[in-house]
Amino acid sequence: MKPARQLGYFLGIAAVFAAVLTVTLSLRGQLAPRGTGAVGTPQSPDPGEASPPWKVGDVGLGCGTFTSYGLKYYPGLQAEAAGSDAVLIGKVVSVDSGHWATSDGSPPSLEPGLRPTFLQVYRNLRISVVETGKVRAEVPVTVGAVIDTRVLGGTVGCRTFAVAGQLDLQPGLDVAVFLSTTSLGTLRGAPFTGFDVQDIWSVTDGQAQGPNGAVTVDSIVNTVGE
Amino acid sequence: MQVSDANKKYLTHAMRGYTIGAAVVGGDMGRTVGRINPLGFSLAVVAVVLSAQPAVAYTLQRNNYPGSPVGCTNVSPYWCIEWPLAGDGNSSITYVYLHSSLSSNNPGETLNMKQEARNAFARWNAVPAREPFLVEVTSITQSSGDHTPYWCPTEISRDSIGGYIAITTDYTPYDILQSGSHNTIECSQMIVSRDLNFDTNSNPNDGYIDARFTLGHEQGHMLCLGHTGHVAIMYPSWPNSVYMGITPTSDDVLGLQVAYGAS
Repeated sequence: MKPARQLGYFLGIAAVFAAVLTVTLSLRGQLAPRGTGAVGTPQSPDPGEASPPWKVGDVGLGCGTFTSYGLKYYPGLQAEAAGSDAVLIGKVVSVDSGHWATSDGSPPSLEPGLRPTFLQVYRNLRISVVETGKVRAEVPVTVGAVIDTRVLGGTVGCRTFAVAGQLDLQPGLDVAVFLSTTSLGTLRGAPFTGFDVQDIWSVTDGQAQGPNGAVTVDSIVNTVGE
Repeated sequence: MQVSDANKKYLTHAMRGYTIGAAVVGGDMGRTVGRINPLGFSLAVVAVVLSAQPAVAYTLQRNNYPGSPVGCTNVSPYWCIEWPLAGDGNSSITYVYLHSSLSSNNPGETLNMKQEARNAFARWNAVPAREPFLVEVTSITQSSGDHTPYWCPTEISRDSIGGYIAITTDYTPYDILQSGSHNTIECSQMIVSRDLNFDTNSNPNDGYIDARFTLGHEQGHMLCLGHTGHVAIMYPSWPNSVYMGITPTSDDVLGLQVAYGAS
């Protein structure tokens, strides 16, 4: 074989190797974890994901979703009912996106250094009452009525404030609801004549999903809590 | 500290379980994890077919960025391994107390909440994971501005928080997530209720909430652990928790070791 042809073969083979190597390294770059660490070393989010502008705005936060993780105080169904003005089984009629819990809807004034959480935001939630449990005599909750409530968390502008494990409230969802006529602490800045939701559980096939597992609708309705 | 042989076995099992979680949640992470542990990935596929229940006990929080699902569990930690890097080269989380006197809000308490927080942090620091995590400082410089890393303190405060004993919120600047920078800090804000009374007793019937469990639980979130229904300090409610102790359980430990590596 002539040297020139040998050189041609060699260059051809080298080119094939180079191409294979390039593709391999490219794939490794996409799939291999970055940095060091154990299993599950982080990788970037999809670079094609929409990137909102990063602005330190009026609440000291950029755009995004801010999820809180809460340790729930749940001493049991009896105590939950005792702390409620009304307990009902119902169906979600509507829910809006969210509002700051202030009288004029402006961002809240917090103690220096604190940033807002889902506790400073509420959504208006309308519920159709299907069945009632405990209802204090002066509270207007009757079967068939549609009542106006507020529930913590929501989206204001480009910021969403949520708490892990909260229900995805959609019209038609069956729920067990514990209501208070007294505004929750962080919602007191926004006057309201309806109910604040103390707790809300999903209901499926006669079972509500409480903090410590399933509870029958019958037991919720029959628990007076006093 | 060294991992005992028993823990090593458990850790291996846990990592397979973790792989199952990742494979269920997203193909990309399945591939990524599969590259690290192909055998684990193969086993995961089989296990998913055989059982709808993931083998994972602990959960790891997925930090937040626009579009992320709320309260997702059994998800790859993604950024959790990175975010404790405080930019000081020591792979630690620095934390401050936002209020100088944590326990002053509630006159019914005699305990020193701040000291209890230190004690709880010490229990986490004793976990045989790769890094010592938590270093108390008196202040952290906070800067802000458009398209600049947003430095902010990991802090503890007290406020009225409805039916919650305490909450922890992560604040992850989106551009930091996008850049994947290793030398940045993520904010984490812990708020302990000032409407409830605390003590250092696990008795659920004394009218007080165990500050040790509360603080340990919230600090677990700061370390990127999510909630679990298993025997763990990361159980999401109190009292009547399946675990009311104050020391991180094997479930909690495994979560940290998967996120940060075992020591």
